Amino acid sequence: MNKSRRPRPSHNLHSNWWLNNTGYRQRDTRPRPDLGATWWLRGPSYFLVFMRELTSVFITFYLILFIGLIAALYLGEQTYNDYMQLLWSAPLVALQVLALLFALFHTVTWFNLTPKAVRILKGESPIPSLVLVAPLYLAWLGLSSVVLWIILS
Amino acid sequence: MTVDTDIIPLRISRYTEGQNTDGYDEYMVPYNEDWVVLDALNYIKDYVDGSLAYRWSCRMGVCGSCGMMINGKPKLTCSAFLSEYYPNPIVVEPLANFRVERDLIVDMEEFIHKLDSVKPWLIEGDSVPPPDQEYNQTPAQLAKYKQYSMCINCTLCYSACPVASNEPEFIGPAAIALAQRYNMDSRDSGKEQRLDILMANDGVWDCTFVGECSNVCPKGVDPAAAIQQAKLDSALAYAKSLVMPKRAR
Amino acid sequence: MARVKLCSSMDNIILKPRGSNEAFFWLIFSGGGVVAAMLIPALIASTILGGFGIEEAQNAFSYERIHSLLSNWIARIFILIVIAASLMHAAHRIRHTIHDTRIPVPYLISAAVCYLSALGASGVAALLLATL
Repeated sequence: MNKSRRPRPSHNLHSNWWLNNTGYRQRDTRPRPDLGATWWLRGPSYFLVFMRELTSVFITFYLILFIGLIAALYLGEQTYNDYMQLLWSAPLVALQVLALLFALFHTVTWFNLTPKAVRILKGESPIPSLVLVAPLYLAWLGLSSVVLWIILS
Repeated sequence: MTVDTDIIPLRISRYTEGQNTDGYDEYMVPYNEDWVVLDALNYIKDYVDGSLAYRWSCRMGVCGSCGMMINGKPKLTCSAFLSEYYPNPIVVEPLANFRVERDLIVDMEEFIHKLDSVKPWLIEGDSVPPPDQEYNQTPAQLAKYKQYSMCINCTLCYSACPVASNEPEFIGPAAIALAQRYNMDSRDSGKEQRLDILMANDGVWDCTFVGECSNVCPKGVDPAAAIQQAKLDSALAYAKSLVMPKRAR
Repeated sequence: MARVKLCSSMDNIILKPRGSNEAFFWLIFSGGGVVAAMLIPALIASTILGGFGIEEAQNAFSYERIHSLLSNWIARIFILIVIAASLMHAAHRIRHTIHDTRIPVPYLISAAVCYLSALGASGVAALLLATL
């Protein structure tokens, strides 16, 4: 049987177990250097991506606070007023500002990455990214203004 | 050799299976403004240490053979100029996220297998022209996939991808970009077959859009964009399969 | 992979979605991402302003005013969509970040914990809004 001397992989493509030329499983002991668990520290582009993923933590944090607001509303005026005073206390305002910065970072990265997922060709060249991204920012400004006006005025 | 020659140190990872030669060897290489890291490696092989093992071929950035980690970043050694790093030492290691065969040589077989699984060839369907005619394709149709066809299979993208690092089974950026290259080719009729591979568990869904693959690609293929478009195609195919279930064969 | 068989005469139809079920969560993630990108900054900004001592903002959040704002069903549904979509988006991202940073959690458990918590929190919000 003409098989090369190299061990062949067993059924699993990337398992550590290979079939050697006598048909027995042997372990693949060759090193596989990888990027490690701290890949996000390997450079600024990796780090920014990690920050983008962290935006979800802060958005969740804020939404928990917001659901708390609705719960306080449900529980009555006194609870609600106490809760709002808590929300407006210095440490929580600081956390909310942080959440706002991360939420803005999510918005910016989300909009800027949309042209990558939605590629439209005009003739032979892709449409300029601005054509796709600018309406998103405009819609964001418009919707934000409407929401802020409704809530605050 | 006169003492006026500028020297740049190269720290190169060595490994031979079964022997205790692992670790980094340091070589002093004469610095030349025009040289790339590949020239330095060839100098070492020719004059200093003939046992150094590495791959290279075209030395001009089109074959994809000479990919290695240079100071921790995946690059083609034929395109990385010594002048970028001089006078600091250059650390040369084999491409990350691959099994190391020897010194700077990695096992490409896993990648080849992943590439084959997406059927990177034209799959004939109803649009085959008669034998005496060629396929017709307008420039606009070519433009749809041309960028993805620039891939030289250098697998720098696999070394940059944290998902490929964490999940060895991920089919990876190049394979998905090439799958899209054929899916978007007007001459091809194999999109449904490729979608089955892309939509499976270690296909597109492992990707978290880090985007580093596109940053390191030497040919501007932008595999990250290809993957997001493939995710969209896959998600729509999934939704369609829920709404319009196929009859079992 | 869902196999739903309603009766024996449907033996020929296998309602099995094509490909990994990840697609489902990715679609929700995408929708939630757009919602979160558009509306979350404004939402956060609205509750922050009171914290800077701005009288108008603090009055805008008085009990009567917010209660009357949310007595409208459209407002309730709107807020619920913002909360639910953004929470599901965040859950998907957090789940993938857990795996990307190699925190040793089995794949199914991370999915269950993240998505079920997001659904749970959204359910709580829905109940609260409905009975306000």
